[in-house]
This record gives sequence, C-alpha cells and structure tokens, in this order.
Amino acid sequence: MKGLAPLWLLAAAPAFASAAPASTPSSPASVTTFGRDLVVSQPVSGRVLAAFASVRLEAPVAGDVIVWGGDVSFGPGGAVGGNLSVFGGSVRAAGTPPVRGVVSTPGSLLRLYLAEMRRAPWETPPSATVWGLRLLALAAWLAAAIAALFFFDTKLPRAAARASETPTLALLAGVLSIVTLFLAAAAVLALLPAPLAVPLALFVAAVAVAAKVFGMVALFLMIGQSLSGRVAARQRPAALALGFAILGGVSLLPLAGPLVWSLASVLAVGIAFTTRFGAPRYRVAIA
Amino acid sequence: MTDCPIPLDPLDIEALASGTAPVVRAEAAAHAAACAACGASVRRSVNLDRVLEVAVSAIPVPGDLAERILRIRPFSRGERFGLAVWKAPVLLFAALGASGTALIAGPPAGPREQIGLGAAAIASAAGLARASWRWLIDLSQAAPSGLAALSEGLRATPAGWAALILLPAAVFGLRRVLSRARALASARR
Repeated sequence: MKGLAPLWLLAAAPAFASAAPASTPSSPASVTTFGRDLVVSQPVSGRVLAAFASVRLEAPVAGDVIVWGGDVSFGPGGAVGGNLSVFGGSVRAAGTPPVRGVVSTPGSLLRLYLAEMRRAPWETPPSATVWGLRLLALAAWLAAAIAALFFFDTKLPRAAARASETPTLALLAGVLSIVTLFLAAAAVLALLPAPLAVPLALFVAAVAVAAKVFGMVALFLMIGQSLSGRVAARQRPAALALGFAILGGVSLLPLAGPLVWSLASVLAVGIAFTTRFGAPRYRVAIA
Repeated sequence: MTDCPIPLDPLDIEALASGTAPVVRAEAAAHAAACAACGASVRRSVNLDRVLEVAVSAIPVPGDLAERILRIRPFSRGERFGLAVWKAPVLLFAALGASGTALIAGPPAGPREQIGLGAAAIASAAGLARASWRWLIDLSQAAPSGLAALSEGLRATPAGWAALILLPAAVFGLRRVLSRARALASARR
C-alpha cells in the first residue's frame, strides 16, 4: 500500500476520493477512496468506503466502514458506529475493535475460525494453526476436484487435452478474461442503477469463480497426465491426484507458492474459456 | 435395462466382443456364458463391431484416434464407483485432512495430552465447520451491501466510464485469442 494520506488531502483529490461535507469540511457525511490509503482523523457522520486501499481510524465514524482489498486499523480515538466489513483484508486493533455493529471479514476464513476457537480474530495465530488451515484448504480443493471429475468425466478430460495443446494461448486468454470480467464488473457497478448492478456484478463474480474452479481441476488433470503419461479413464483419478499434489505442494512454498498459485489461477480461467468449459467442438446430430 | 442382477460392465462387454481380456471383472467370460442377458449383450456388441468395420473400412483413420477417444471417454459404471480407481485422490484427501486437523489440534506433549488429542481434533473440526458456515453466511449477507456501497462510491469517479471505454478492446482481444486457440486446435485434428 502507498503511504497513508490524511483525510483533508483526499477530499482535495476528487478523481480518487470524494467527500460530501455535511455542514463543515471538518465533518464530512461520507468518505470514499480508491487506491489511496486513508487516515480518518476527524469524525465522519456517514460511512467510509475504501477500495484497494487501507483505512486507519483515528476518529469515530458514525456509519458503516466498508473496505475492499485493504486493511483496517484502529487508533486511540477510532470507532465505528455501524458495521465493519473488510473484503480481502484484515482488522488490526490493540484490543477489541470498537465497533457497535457486526465485524465481518468474508475474505478470511482464518479469522472466523480463530473466533470460533475463542481466540480473538485480531490476534496473531500460531503458525501451526495457519499451516493446518492451509492443509485443510487444500483438502477442500481436492474434494471439489474429485467431485468435479466424478460429475464432469468427459468435459474435464477434454478441457485438459485441449489446454495441453495450446498452453500459451490459454494463459493469454486467462489474462484477457480476467481483465474483461473486471472491466465489465466495474462498468456495471458504476453505470447501472444499484438494483440492477449488484445482481449483475454477483453474476460476473460467479462466472469468474466457476471458470477458476473448472480450470484448476482441468489443470491438475493436465499436469498429472503429462507427468505420468497415462490418459486412460481408469487412470484419471490418479493423474488428478498427482497433478494436485504437485501444484498444491508448490503453493505451500513461501514467496514462490502464492505466485505460482496465482499464475495457475490465471491459466485456469483461460483453460475454462478457451475450451468453453470442455464443451465438444462439434455436436453430432443423429436423425 | 437388463434381467441380470449383476450385469457386466460395458467395458467388459466390449472386451469380450473384441476378443481381449476383460478389465473390470476377471470372470466376465464365464458370466457371459452362463447369463442369457449378458451373453445377448456380448453378441449385440459383436454384431455392432462387424457393422462398423464394414462401414468405416474406406475411411482413413488418424493414428492417434484411439488415444483421443480413450482420453475423453466417460467413466464406465465400474470405474465411476470403483474404490480402487479413486483410491489415490481419496487417500491424499484423507492425509491432507488428518495432517491439517492434527496441526490445528496441536502436537501431544505427553500421555495426558495424547488422550485429549481426539477431543481436540473433534473440537478443531467442529470449529472449522462452524467457521465455514459463518463464512458463507457472512459472505451472502455482506457481499450485496458491500457491492451496493462500492457501486455508489464508483459513481463519484470516472472509473465506470474508463472501464466502459476499455471493455470493447479487452473483449476484442479475448475473442481474437479464443478464435486463434480454436483454429490451432482444428488444425491439429
């Protein structure tokens, strides 16, 4: 994240942040920021929204605080009168975060789990717990892969076979697919009325998730079949396990792991779209 | 439908029809000889093979056709429900699940802790199940309101128009790449 910018500075940069003053510039009704970290140093009577930015609360916010792709930290005077929602980030506070409403971090299963185990979600968990959850997350991925192969026993092998013929194009298609989906979601959210924009954005997100899951399973299969040299139906589950073990194992490596998994995710989305989710190229009609 | 209570797998029927060894049930030949329904299935398969042999004899067959068909053919009944076929991913799943649970539950330091390991593992698994459930509920509740807020925030910026201007170029590029991938795949056939 970039350096934190004070609230008054953001209000002076309307292209990235907008503030709607209630009565005086020192008490804005709501604050919005995109891509620029925010320090709330004066009370806000409305809500605070940040996208791809972190928020530090030094003063109370009467409404909700919603953060996409950033962290929230609390200073001595920071408090939230409404709900605190952090998508894909974390909450940091010295003690219990002063939030009157609900604190939700939908992007982080770890924090919910720690809360379930009666450990404060903002405390640093022991590394064994983090590793354990990572292994369980991999187990969940493998369960999804097994189920997908069980139900899509021709589409996944077809996708894996075609992707192995054109991996570079699949990767390029993945990059362009993600850019296209991202732009489509941004345009929909910004230009359409909210009752229409939200369901459409959720649909775009669902397409992206479906493409990633399908493509990842096809990628596991492709890797396993390439390494074992066995493509028969009977050996498919074993090939899936081999490909998953390799990619999943690499994903656990520090630094390189997340990079490889991210690259695999981009390739996976490309595989899903270049193979049209494993649909046959020609349909045979029998009269 | 067949009258046989334990019908032969289609793979074995085809294997017997083509004179090769069965792959699912070793005693398939003996069963087909004793069972009228399965014997009829094998004879139908033999007749179909003869018809196909005559029909496609004049058509050149690509060298890798058999491999391509084998690669994408669906599971037979025996393969779909055979534990031996699925044992590798199932064992890996079990190993991952057990290792993850053991790490969360913590290593036992002595006999007393070892006695409590089972309870700790169950508590961890139950906590994970509850957390997953809460995660789904959180996501379903927070995502729409979060998206609505994001939508409202985006309206105050030119991001939407910028995305709309860039979108056709991205779609055009994607379509070109997808067409190229399909053309390459067709050329390889």
